[in-house]
Amino acid sequence: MSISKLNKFLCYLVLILLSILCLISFYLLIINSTRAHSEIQKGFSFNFGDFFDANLKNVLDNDQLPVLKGIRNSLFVSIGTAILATYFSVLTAFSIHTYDFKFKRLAFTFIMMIMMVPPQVSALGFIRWMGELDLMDSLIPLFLPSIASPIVFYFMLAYMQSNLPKATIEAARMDGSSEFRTFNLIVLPIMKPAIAVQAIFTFVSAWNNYFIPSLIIRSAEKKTLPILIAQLRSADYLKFDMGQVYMLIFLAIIPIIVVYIILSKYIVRGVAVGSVKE
Amino acid sequence: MGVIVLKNINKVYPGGVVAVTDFNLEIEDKEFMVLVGPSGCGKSTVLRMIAGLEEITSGELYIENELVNEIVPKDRDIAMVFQNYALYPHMTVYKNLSFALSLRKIPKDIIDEKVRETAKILEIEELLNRKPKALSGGQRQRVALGRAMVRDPQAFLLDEPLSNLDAKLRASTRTEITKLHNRLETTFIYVTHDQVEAMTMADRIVVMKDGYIHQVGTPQELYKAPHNMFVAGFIGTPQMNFINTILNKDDSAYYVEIDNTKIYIPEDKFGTILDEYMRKELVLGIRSEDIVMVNDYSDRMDILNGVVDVSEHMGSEVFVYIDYNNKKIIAKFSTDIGTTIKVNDNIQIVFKSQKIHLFDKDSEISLLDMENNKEKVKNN
Repeated sequence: MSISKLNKFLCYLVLILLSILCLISFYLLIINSTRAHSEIQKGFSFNFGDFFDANLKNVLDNDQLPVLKGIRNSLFVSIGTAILATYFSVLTAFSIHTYDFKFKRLAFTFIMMIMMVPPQVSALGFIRWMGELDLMDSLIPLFLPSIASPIVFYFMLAYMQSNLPKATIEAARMDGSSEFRTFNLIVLPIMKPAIAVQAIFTFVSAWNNYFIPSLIIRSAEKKTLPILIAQLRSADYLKFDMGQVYMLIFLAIIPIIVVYIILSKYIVRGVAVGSVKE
Repeated sequence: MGVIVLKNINKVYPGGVVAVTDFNLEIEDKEFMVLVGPSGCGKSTVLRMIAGLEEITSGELYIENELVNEIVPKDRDIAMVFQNYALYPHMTVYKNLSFALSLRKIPKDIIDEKVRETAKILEIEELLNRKPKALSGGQRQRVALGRAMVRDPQAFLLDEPLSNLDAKLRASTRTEITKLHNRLETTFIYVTHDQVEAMTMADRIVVMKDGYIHQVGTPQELYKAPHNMFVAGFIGTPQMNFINTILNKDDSAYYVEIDNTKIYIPEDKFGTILDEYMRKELVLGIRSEDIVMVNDYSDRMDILNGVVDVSEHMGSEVFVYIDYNNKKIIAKFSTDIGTTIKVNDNIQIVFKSQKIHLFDKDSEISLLDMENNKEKVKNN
């Protein structure tokens, strides 16, 4: 075996091991969602069980567990977050990228500073504020604040700087386009790949978010999926059913996979190729 | 339509960088005006100020007698072609062309008619459904021109539109832009750093350096009577030869001496200004084609004996780099003469005296210009 072949073999070996590591948890999740509570407690198995229908029925029929409402709430919050975070981050990045205005550097530094602060630090203040605004137990505080997403903004700015030449914006100006129209008709389409990437990330993080919803949401019909999963897991000993837990988690990851499949085709570099000759 | 007047225009960037100083220019209707100069001379800044993409620090800009300093680009009714084309990458060629019209709420059938007419003129009809990334450089260039054309603007601004094309395509596109100008009968303002483009396309040329206008004139005027050494050196290839010398006079006439060779200066060309420069330092300028090779070893006083350093065959002509007492002189000969010249040959040359330029050593201004100004002052 030549050295290059050996190299290739080792590379593939490492990659295959890493892939298995990533996929095994999904595999076990799917396996366990088809097994009964008693079977799961006996330990790992790589074979499918016969309890998929029963687990699904148990989850959907559980009175304490408004799963369908939970899915709807989670979708509403996650889609809202993805749209607001990406649109307004591109808008902010556009202003920093394109215009010269007073305190531009200060604004940029301020946004960067916010990026350093973890949400847990400001959570207490946020909750109290929401209380004062009478927005406790509402879905609005779960997606509206994503308008200000410093990390998304920073990603958009970096993408913009390498893919949106100022001449393109100026050409639109000369063509008679207003600034807002230029943004919507020219800038947004050019930013599509970046928007797709960030839409996936923000969607997934909003979908998985447990921390803030657990502090804000009280009533059952407003609960999002992570809260329902936690609720199911912390059920008392007699009702505790691992089959249901796995089934609910299984249901919870389907939308993420769907969103990824829909948006991944947009994640192709070089939409801006051809606009400007380098 | 399309008269553009710039009055005392200044541009200072934040941080105090001065880009354009006291720029005065009147661009006539339907004129092809070329702004030319080395990079960083402020020519693009002037263009961008006319477009409205750059604020004017002070001064007045009139388009069709209307002060437009504060008017946004879209209301100035001028179109611009960018150096890197700046096409909209996500739109087809058709959409790229129709974008400006659809913003103006023009009926769809009229837009369609205009887009197709423009595409026909530029021969890009078969590309209408393609996106920019599927086009070659030359095709993108045409689309960029087309995007400007569909609007029938009062003036076209072109910012180094040929600099991204290869040499052959550049030459053919150059003639096409000239044809387009004749056909459209609109004011063109064209920025380039390439003096060949300026000379071949322009009705008038503005030569700029360091934010100042050095000369405005037709290509012939700039070539024959450059205002100063910068213009003389910038316009024409190869560059004009400059030789430091001192003006003198013997009983017959004025002459300058270059290492014991006397070169007589035609008094009828320069006039009385020569008196003021007696025994003063001057710079003599001579274009390479105004140098003649002589074969007779006659006792002419004005023969320079040099040694051939390098000879470059350009096809129809030959550039000969001559070393004359450590002064470099470039001469341009026709091929039949040029091919006989070999490196390290001794060579005898004379300057055509009527074609000699003289410049003040300090101000670098042409003596001929100073003389003409004196005349003007007298006449006034």
